[in-house]
This record gives sequence, structure tokens and C-alpha cells, in this order.
Amino acid sequence: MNHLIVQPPNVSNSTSTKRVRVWFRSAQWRQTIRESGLPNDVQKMLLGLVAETGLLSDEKEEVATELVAHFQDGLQRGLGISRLIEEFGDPSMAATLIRNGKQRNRTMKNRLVQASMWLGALGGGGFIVLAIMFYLEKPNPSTDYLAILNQPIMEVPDDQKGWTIYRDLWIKYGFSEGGEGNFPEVHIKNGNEYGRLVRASDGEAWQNAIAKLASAEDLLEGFRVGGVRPSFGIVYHSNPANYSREDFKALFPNRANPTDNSDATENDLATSNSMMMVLLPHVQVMRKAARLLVVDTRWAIEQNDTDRAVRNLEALFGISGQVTESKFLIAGLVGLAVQAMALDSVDELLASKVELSPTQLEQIQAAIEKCNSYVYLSVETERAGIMDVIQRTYSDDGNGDGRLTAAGLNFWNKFLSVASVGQPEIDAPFGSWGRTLESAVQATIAPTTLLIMATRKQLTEQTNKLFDQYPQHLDKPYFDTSIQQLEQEVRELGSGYVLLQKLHPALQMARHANLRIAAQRHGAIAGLAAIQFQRDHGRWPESLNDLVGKYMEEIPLDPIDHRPLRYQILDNGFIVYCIGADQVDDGGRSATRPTNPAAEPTAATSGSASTLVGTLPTNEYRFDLKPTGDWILWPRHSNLRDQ
Amino acid sequence: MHDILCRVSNNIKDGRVKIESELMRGAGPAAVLQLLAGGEMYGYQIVEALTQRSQGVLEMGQSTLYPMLYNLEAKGYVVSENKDAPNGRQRRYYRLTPTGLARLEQDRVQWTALVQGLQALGLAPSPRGIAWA
Repeated sequence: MNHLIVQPPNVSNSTSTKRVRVWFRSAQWRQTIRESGLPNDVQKMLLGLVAETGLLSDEKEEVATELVAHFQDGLQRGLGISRLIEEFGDPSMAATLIRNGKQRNRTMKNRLVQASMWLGALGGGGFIVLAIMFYLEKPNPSTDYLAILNQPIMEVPDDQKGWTIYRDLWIKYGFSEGGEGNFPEVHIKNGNEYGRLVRASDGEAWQNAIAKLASAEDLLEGFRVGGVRPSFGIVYHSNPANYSREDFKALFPNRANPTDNSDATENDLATSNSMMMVLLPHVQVMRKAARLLVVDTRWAIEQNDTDRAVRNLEALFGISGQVTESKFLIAGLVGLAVQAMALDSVDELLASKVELSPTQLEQIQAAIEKCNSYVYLSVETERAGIMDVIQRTYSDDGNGDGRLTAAGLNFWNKFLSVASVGQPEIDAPFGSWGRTLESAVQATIAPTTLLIMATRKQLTEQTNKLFDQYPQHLDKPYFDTSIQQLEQEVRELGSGYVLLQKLHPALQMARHANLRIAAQRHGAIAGLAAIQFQRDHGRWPESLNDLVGKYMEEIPLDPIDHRPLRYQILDNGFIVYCIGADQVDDGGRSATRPTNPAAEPTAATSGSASTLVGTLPTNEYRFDLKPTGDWILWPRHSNLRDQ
Repeated sequence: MHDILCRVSNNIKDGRVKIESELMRGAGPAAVLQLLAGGEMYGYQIVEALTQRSQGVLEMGQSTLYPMLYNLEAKGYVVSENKDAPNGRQRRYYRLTPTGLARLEQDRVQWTALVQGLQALGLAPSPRGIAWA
């Protein structure tokens, strides 16, 4: 019997080659049947049977070849067509059994091929659905957040707006960004950069500065008058073309017309009344105006012109509030910077020994106290900005949900430079296949972002969940980490929330800046109140409690521990302080930098109040170093303590 | 009794008994392996041989044969190869493998035991004669 047993044949190369060939000629099996010479009835049955097996094309070819041979053999034996067909049996059942048999007999390669085909078909179908949704659906912005922002500004009467005074002067002096009126004379140049503001002790530089200021007296007077008005009064636009001719001329002195250097068009989804594109050209310009007023205050002190100095201070504090009118975080930070300049100027004025009347002291204190009503840190405009981006990026199903769209991704890509899809040229948005290979690849893969991106509803809910929590944490003690933790949660949300991550403001940083300046402001209010008390009573108050009522409304809180600010009478003066980064009351000993502790003498080391140098840390790195000692909020100039 | 007689007559065609599909499901593969033990064969050849050598008893629907061959091949009992026939046409020839031979030996033992069992019950003819009740 052994001689009858054969080893499995080695499949020849010619067979492999044929299989490959057949693979690429999927209809080969049909040809095999049609060229078989079998009668039409048999061909028809075989065509139907082989097709019904649903096998891979090379498997069909094998079955077709074998069945053709079968019927040819039958015919050769002299059997009739009808008998052959009858003896063959039910073709449908045969197709099912053949499919099952062949599939069991299938090689790993063929199994992989079939699995790949199914996966490919499923993937291809899924991709087509994604692509249709991605490219055909469009965002449909329904809320005009910019109009909501502008509404209260438009209701302010013109005589309450600083802008109605500033505008003509800015045009005259080219004062806005890019204009000629940069007033470099008020800075001490440090190489090619503008350094600190010039002082009376700077000799020729000072002379040049005051000469320049003298030549722009109407501009300065404009800031003094306009700065104390309650509103800045400019209406915000996302497109320069929407400004009035006069506003445009004042804000963009280096542009001949509104469309110069602008990629914005009114029909552009991204720029048409978009919160993301709101222009704030005046904000930094007002910081420049504040610098002029600071230097002019120094000049007024030198001239013993206290009225002008006080008016400058009132304008500075007013401007610090005016620039926050948009409620954008960046504007609030500029407002805080202007306020810090104003507080330093108050210090300088009081340290100068010029005689201020009680009324003037009250005027200054009132101007500082007014800052308590300004909102330097608002999260609502930031929330509105994110909501506006969402409605310009996602489709809208009418029930608060929707998907990311190609038009939205263009908007996003254009202004936020989404790293995951690169940075296509602005004029080559998704959907413009063929312009470049890169844009074609991006356009092809872009619909797959739908698989990872959060839906509109998810994004909206997550944004609201966060922004509903922020207000209760903004005024918490300085080292509270609630907002830090929420910011960390945002970073950990995953790539589906990249829009929120990109747009999320740095709130903890802004909160710290706000608390630092607020502490300085509260210290100044308490300091001025103490000076007025001393003038009335011939002595310093025993505690800040003595000032409540007539001299100030309440004792401000220490931003570190939320207890009342600390006050201490020294040999020749007093200090108002908070406990500082070490969160320990060091009795008014000034905070020092650990890196160079000898650089700043303290009350403890010098034993003399006149050597105190009060410093309020302004940079985050100092908190990391955890300097010991307290933050002296008032006075910040040592000779003030000798009054 | 009428039903039984009808079923018996339905299984007799041209004077030959036809095996019901349930029985053929077990007997068919063994019969094919037995045929291939004599050498490689192609599909129609197997059909003819089954009919002739079993005197029509093991004649099976040809639509069943090919799936059966594919199953045997999937189990490794047979291998197939395309070859050019003497008339120039291509045919697929099936051969027994060592695994198939081992399977055939097992089938042979089992079928022998089954026949002996049936004989003991009087359901199959004994070497000494038919014992139909």
C-alpha cells in the first residue's frame, strides 16, 4: 500500500505566478467558463454557482476550472446535458458547500487577504461617511458675541468717552502703533531698545524728554481730561474695514486704507465679527500714554506743580480702568501694568516732599479707590471667545451638538496653528486638493480628525463646567491651587479638546498678577489714609482700625492669608505690609532674594527704618525660591517713612 | 407500514439502493479516501468509481463531492494539483497524504466494527447469509 501514498506536491512557481496573475484579473474565472466550450445551459449554471460562492477570485478560478473539467468529462463519457445537470445536484447548495469547504481550506495568506478586504471596505466606507460629514457640513454661527460686547459701550454718551478726546490727538501726533509719535525721548535707550523711563537726574536725556513733552502739551492735556472719563468708548471690530474713517485713521496711521496688510474679508467666517479676531490696537497705545504721564508727573514734581501731578495720577488710574473695558484678559493685564505705574508715581510724588493739600491727598486716594471697581480679571469674555470659536468651527444640529467641519478647521488652522495638521498656507485651505502635495494629504486625512475630536456638545459642556468654577477661585488666597488644578485638568483632557487647551487663558498667572497689584493698591490706600490721619492728629494711627470710617472704608485683606493687612509704626514712620511668599509674619522685615540676601538691607539687619527697601515681588521665580520676609506694600520709597 | 414501504421504495432506483444523506455523510469521506488509496484521481473519475465499484450504493450528488474533497484537503487527508490531462485539458487530481492514510486505517477499523455490530443485530448480512427478520 505504501507505494500508493504520495507526498504533498511542491507548489510550482508557475502556479504561484498564475495565482498572482489571476489575482489581478478578477474576472478570469468567468473567462474560463465562457471559453470552456460547454453548452450554454451548463455555462449559465456554472457562472451562477461560482459567483454565488463569494470566494476570492483565485479560489473561484480553481473551482471554475475543476467544474468545467467535470462537465467536460461527463460530456466526453457521452452523457446528455440535462442528465449531467440533474446528477450534479442543486447549484445553490453546491455553492454554499463549496464556499465552506474552500474557506476551511484557505491558506493564511488568503485569510489575511480577505480580512484586509473586509477591513478596507469597512474603513473605506467609514472614511467616505466621515469625509461627507466633514466637508459638507458647515458652521452656522448664531450668536453675535461681538455685538453683545459692544452693546454697553455703544450706550455710553460721547461726553463720557475718553476716545472722543484721544482720537483727534492721536491723528495729529501719529500716536498709535506704527505712527511717528513714539516719544523715544522719554526712555533711556539701552542699546537698540527702549529702557527705563527718564528721571530728573538723567541730565541731557531729561532735558530732551521735557522739551518733547512741552511740545505735546495738548496731547498730555487730552489724556488728563479723557483719562478720568468712565469709558474708553471705542467700539470693537474684528475687521479694520468696519471702523469709521476717523477711527481707522487714528488707530492705523501706517495703513492707507482698511484693507492694507489685512487678510480679512467680510465674508470670511473667521474674521467676520469673530471674537478671536477682535482688534485691540488702542490697548498697548494707552500703556505708552501712561508712560508719558509718568514722566510728566516727574516733571510736574520738579516744577512743584502739584495740581498737574495730581491730575496726571487721576488720569493714570482712570486709564488703567479704561483699557479693561473690553474685559479681555490681555487688556486687564495691561490695565494692571498701568495701575502699577500709577502707584509708583504716587510713591514718587509723596517721597518728593512737595506739599500736597488735604484735598489733593483725598483726590489721589479716591482715584486709587476707584480702581477697586474696575474688573481687571474677568473670565466671561474669555468664555465668550471660546464659545464663539466653537460656533465657527463646529456644525450645529439645532440641539446644541455638532461636529468639527472643514471650514471650521480652516478657521482653526489659520489662527491657532494646530500642530496635528500642520500649518497650511492661508490661501490653501482644506478641500483644495492638488494645489500642493501637502495640502492634498492634509485634505485627505483631515476627516479622520472627527474620530478624535470632542463633539460640540462635549466641548461646550466642558468649557462651561470649567468657567462656571473659575470665579469662585479668582480671589482666593495667593497660594491657593484650585485654579492651577483646573488648568492641569484642561491639559489632561486629551487631544479631543485641543481647541479648549489652545484657547484656555493662563488664569493662575493672571490671578497672581491681579492679587499682587491689588495688594499694592490696598497698601497705598492704607498709606494715604495714615498720612491724612497723621496730619489731623499729629501722630500715626495705632492700628489700621483707627483709619476705618473717616479715612478708608475697611481694612483690605492680605492676599496671602486673607487676614487684614499688617501695619507697624517704625521709629520715623510706618509700614503697611503683607506676609509674603513664606506665609509667615516676619514683623515687617522686607523680603529678600535668597540668591543675594545681602543686596537688600532689612529692618532686622539695619535696625533703621530709613534703610528699609520695600519690594513687592513681581516675577513668579521669586515664589519658587520662597524668599523669607514680608512684602512691604507702603511706602515703597524709604524716605517716605521719615515724614 | 405504508410510510415505511414508501420510503424504502424511494431509496431504490434502477434496482439499486441509494444511501440516505445522513449515512453518506459518514461513509462518503471514507469511501473517497479508500478510492484514493489506489492512486490519484480527478473529480469525475471519483464519481464514476464510487458509482461503479459500490454498484450505485455510494453514488452521491456530484455537487456534494467537490465540497467533500475540499474538506478532506482542509484536514490534510488529501492534496490536489492541477495537471494537464492527455486530451490537453486541465484537471485537478487528488492524492492521499500520510495523514489521510492514517485516517483511512482508523475508518477501516471503525467500519469493520460497525458492520460486525450490525451483523450481530441481524441488520447486515453475515458471512453465512442474510439474516433479515
